[in-house]
Amino acid sequence: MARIELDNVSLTFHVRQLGRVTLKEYVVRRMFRRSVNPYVQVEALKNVTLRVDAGDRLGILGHNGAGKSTLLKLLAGIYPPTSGRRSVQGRISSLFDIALGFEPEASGWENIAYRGYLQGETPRTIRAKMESIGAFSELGHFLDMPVRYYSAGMLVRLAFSIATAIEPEILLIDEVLSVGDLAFQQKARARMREMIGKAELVILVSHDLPSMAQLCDKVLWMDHGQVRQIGPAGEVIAAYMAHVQGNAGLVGATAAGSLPCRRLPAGREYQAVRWSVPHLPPGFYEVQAAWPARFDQAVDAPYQVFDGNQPVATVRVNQQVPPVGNVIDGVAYQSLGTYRIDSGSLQVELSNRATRDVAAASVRVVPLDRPQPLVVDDGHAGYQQEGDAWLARLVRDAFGGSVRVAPAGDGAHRARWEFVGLEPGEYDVYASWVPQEDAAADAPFHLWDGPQHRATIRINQRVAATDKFIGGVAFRHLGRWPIQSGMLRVVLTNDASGAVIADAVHVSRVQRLPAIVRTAADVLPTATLVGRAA
Amino acid sequence: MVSYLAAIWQCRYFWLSLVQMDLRTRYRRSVLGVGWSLLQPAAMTVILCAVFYHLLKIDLYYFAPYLIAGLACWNYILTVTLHGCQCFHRAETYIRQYPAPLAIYPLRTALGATFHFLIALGLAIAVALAVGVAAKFRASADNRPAAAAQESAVLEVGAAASTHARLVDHPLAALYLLPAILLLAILAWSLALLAGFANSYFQDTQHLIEVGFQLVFYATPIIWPEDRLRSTAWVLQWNPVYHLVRLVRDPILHGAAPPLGTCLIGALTVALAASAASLVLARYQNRLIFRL
Repeated sequence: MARIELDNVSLTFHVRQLGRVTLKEYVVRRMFRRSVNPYVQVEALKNVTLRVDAGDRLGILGHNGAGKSTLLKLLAGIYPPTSGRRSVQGRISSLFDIALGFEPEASGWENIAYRGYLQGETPRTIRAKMESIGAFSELGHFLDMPVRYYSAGMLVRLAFSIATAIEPEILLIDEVLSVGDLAFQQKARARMREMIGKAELVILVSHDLPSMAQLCDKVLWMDHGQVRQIGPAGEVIAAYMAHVQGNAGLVGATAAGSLPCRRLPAGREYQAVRWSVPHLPPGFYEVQAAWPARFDQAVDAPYQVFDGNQPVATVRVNQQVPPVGNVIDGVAYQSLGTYRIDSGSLQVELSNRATRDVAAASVRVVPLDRPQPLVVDDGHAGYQQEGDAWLARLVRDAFGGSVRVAPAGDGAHRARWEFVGLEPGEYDVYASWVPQEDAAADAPFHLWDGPQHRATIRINQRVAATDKFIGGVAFRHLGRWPIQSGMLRVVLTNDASGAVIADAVHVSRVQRLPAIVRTAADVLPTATLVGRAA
Repeated sequence: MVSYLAAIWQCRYFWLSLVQMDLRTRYRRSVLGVGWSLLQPAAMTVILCAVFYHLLKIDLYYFAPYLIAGLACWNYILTVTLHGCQCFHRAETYIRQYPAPLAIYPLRTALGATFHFLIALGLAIAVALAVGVAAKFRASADNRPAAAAQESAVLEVGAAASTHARLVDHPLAALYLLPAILLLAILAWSLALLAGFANSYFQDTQHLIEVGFQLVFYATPIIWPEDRLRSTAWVLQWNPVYHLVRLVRDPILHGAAPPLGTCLIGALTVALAASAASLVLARYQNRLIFRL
C-alpha cells in the first residue's frame, strides 16, 4: 500500500547573497575571516507533519512562495529534509518542471524513450507505449525532428504526453493543468483525471481552486512554510478564499446559510428549480446567484438563463466554495453575467445536471442603466502606448480585429486606456486579450482614478477571459471600482513574466436601481419546481 | 553501496541511451564520423614525430606508437575531468525532476570518453603492429639481424628502447590491456564525479583543473621520450599518471605486461580516486541540489 509520511520536517535553504562562490574567494575568506558574500537562510518548510495514505487525493494550496512546490519536491525525494523524517512506501511519479529536461539534439521519439527510461520503463515496455504517446501529443511528423526546433507549447505537449503515460502508484503534480492550447488543455484535463483515478495516492499543487475542489478530497493550506490548515477540500478552500479576499480588501463573502435553500440530488432524473422575473423593460440585466457552499456539492452547478423561453446561456459555478461578489444583507452573490432581455421576462433555471448535488438558494437580477458598453480598443482614441517594442497583431478573435503585444521587460512599455467625463460612481472594469502561449501569467493592469492609484491587478494572459462577452469578444472582470475624479485610466505595463497583450478595455457603471431578488422560498410554493424525464 | 549500484543498474537504459545520443550528435554532422576523434591524436603524432625526428633524430619506429598510446591515455583522463566539471549542470533539469542516483551523470561523461579512448587505443595498436611489421621487413631486406638493423637506425635512443620486443611478436600481450582499460574506466568515472562536485561547489574549478593538468602534462612522459629524463627519474616514480600511462603503453609498445610496481601504483591510484569519489558522493549527494 502506498503511503507518505512526514514527521516534523523542516527545510532550510542556504543562499548566498551574491551567487555562487569561487574557490579563490573561499580560500581568501578563510584567510581573512571576513565574508563579503554571506549566507542567507531561507526557511522554506517549518515543522511539517503530514500523513497521506493510499486512496487519498490531497491538494496543496497557498500563496506564491508559501512552500507548496518545495514540499512537493521534498516528498518526491529531490530535496532532503534539513531536519525531521520522511518515509515513503510506493513508487513515486512526479509531474513538475515537465517542460524542462529534454535533450535538444535528439528527436521527439528519442526523447520519449529517454524520459520513459527515467520513469522506469524498459525498451520493451516503452516501445509498446511510443505510438500512443506520439498520438496523444498530436505532434505528428515533428516527432522526427530534434526538439530544439520545437516551440515552448510543443515541448509542453510532448512532456505532458510522456509524463502521463505511466501508471503511477504515488502521483505528485505541480501546476500542470494548464497545458498547451485550449483543445489540448481539455484533453490534458481528461488524461489528468484518468491518471488521478488510477493512482493509489495523489498530491496536487495548484492555484486552480475549482479543479482542486473537484479532484481532491483533502486539502492542505501552506502558509509561509507551515501547515496552516488541513481538512476536507470544501472547508479548507472556503477558508483560504475568505482569507485571500479579506487580504485583498474586497467584500468578504458570507455563506448563504440564512436563506431558505433547496437541495437537488444529482441523479438520472432531471430536477430543476426555476426563478422567473416577469415585467422587465427591455434592456441589460446582470444576473447573480447565491448558494450555501458545501464540500460535497457540485463544482459544475448549471444555471441556465432564459430570455422569455429562449435559452441564452448556461453558467456553471463551483458550489463547493462560497459565491464571490457583492454582499447584500449578509449574503454573498456571484455574478452569472450580464444579459440583454427583450421579451420582458427573465428566467433562471438551476438543474441537477451536475456531477454532485446542487443547492438552490437565491437569484438576484440587477438592471443596468447603460445599454451601450463603453469600450476603448487598441489603436483608437483614448488608447496610447509607450515603448518601441509593441507589435500590432491581427487576430480574428480580438476586439476590433487586432491586439498589441509587448515582450516582457522592465515596465517601460505601457499601454494606456483613458475614459474621461465619467459620472462619479462605481464602475465595473473589464479587459480583453487573445491568449497566447508565451504570454505573461501576471500581466499587471494598473487602475487610476484621476491622479489616484486604485489597484494593480495581475492577470494570467495565457488563458482566455470568460467573464463577459461584447460582440463575441471575451472580457475579464478587473473588479468594481469607485471613480470620483471623472477620469479612469487603465495602464498595462510589461514588467511581467511573459509578453503582455493589450486589446480593449471596457467599463460599465454600476447602477443602483433596486435589485429584484428571488429566493428558493419564492419559487417553492408556486410550484415552479420543474421535473422532467431524463 | 550494493543497493546504490543496483539503483544505477536499474536506470541503465536511461544513461546508456544518453551516452549513445552524445556519441551520435557528436558525429552526426561530420562526414568523417568517428574518424574525427582519431584525427586529433593522429595529426598530433605526425607533427610531433616530424619535430622530434628533426631535432633529436629519434627512432620513429619506436616513437610513433609511443606517442599515440600516451596521447590516448592523456586525452582520456583530461577529457573526463574537464567534461566532468559540467556533468551535473548538464543534467540539472533531470536532477530537479527525478531522484535518480547522481553517479549516473558522471558515468555518462565517462562512458562517452571511454568510447573515444578505445578508438584511439585501436589506432595505437594498429600503428604498433604496422611499425613492427615494417621493422621486420626492413631488417630482412637488409639481410641483417633485426636487432642490428635497429641499432643502426637508432642514433640517440638508449639500448633498452632499441632492442625491445614488439607487440607483433607477442600479439596476446594485448590482453594485458583489458585490466588496464577497466582500471582507467573506474578512474574516469571517479574523476568526472569529483570534478562535477567540485565545480558545483566552486565555479572556478574548471580553470584550476586546466592549469593543474598543464603541469602534470609536462611532468609526464607523453610527448617527450621517457629515457630523456634519466637524471630526474624520481619525478616519474612519484607521478601516478606516469604509471597509469605505462599500464596501457607497455603492452602496446613492448608486447609485455607492465612491471609489478607500476601495476600496484596504478591500482592504488585508482582505488584512492574511487574511494574519494564514494566518500564525496555519500557525503554530498543529497545536498548537490542546493548548489545547482
